[in-house]
Amino acid sequence: MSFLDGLAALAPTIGFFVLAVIILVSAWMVSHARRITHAAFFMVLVFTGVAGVFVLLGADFLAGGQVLVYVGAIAVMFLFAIMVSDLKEISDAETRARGAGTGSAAAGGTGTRKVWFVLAGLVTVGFAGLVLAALARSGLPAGAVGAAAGPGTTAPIARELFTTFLVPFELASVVLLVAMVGAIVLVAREREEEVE
Amino acid sequence: MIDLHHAIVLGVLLFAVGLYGALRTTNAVRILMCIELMLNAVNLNFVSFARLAAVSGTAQAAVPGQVFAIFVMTVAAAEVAVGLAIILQIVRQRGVVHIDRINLLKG
Repeated sequence: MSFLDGLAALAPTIGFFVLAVIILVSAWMVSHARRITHAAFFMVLVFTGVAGVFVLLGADFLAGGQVLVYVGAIAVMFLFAIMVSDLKEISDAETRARGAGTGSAAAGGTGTRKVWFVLAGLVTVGFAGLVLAALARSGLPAGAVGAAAGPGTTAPIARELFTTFLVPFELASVVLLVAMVGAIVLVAREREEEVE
Repeated sequence: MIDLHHAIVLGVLLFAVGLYGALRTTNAVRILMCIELMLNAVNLNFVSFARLAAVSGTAQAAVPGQVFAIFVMTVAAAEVAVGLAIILQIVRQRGVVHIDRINLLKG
């Protein structure tokens, strides 16, 4: 019985590390998957994993919003954009450019590309090292932050959102409206030209 | 239980992977995806620190950090809508999605 109790106490930690591995591997695959459609689905996996971590950190409303907004809206928008555009151009041109090893110019291009990969890796590792070093020196308390069963965060968030953060909240809705109109204007102009 | 440092390190690593992906590819759609990953990492850190505030204070203390994460989500959605519209337009007009071949401002 005590073993089971121990296992139940360990479950959030195990879940966190499983989710962390899923998130990081999927994030890596977003930039390394051959086809852009696969990258979009790996992105969905990252979003879902992050939603799981939100649950473990006691942010249940945000977890739901994460699934709704990121998986339901943003990922679907990516997939639609890939679908309605010339799929060959978006998905294959990259691998074609990478595989084109004929001619000296292409060989030079591959060399530059390799240098560029190394440069990108150096920038990334340098950034991550800097942040981790800052974290190690910051003296943050290393306390447990796993969520205890609580009444939920939806009501408190709503109360704050419509009182303290009312102006930013309304501004955010204006931003969304502007983005929606802007996207429609940008994409619809082409269709008018096609009709003419 | 989950340590605060674990959550923050996960956020840093996710941001680093997104940054590397955004830097290494020339595909505009993929760069946009990697930017989304980075925004997600930022949200992860917001929620972790909000949780720290809730653990060391009252449960109410977690709310501002989570509200910030909601605003990040809003901006991300708007950014993706406009960004994808621009990319779609470029693909339609020029048939190119690689940022090293979109050089209209190149003198």
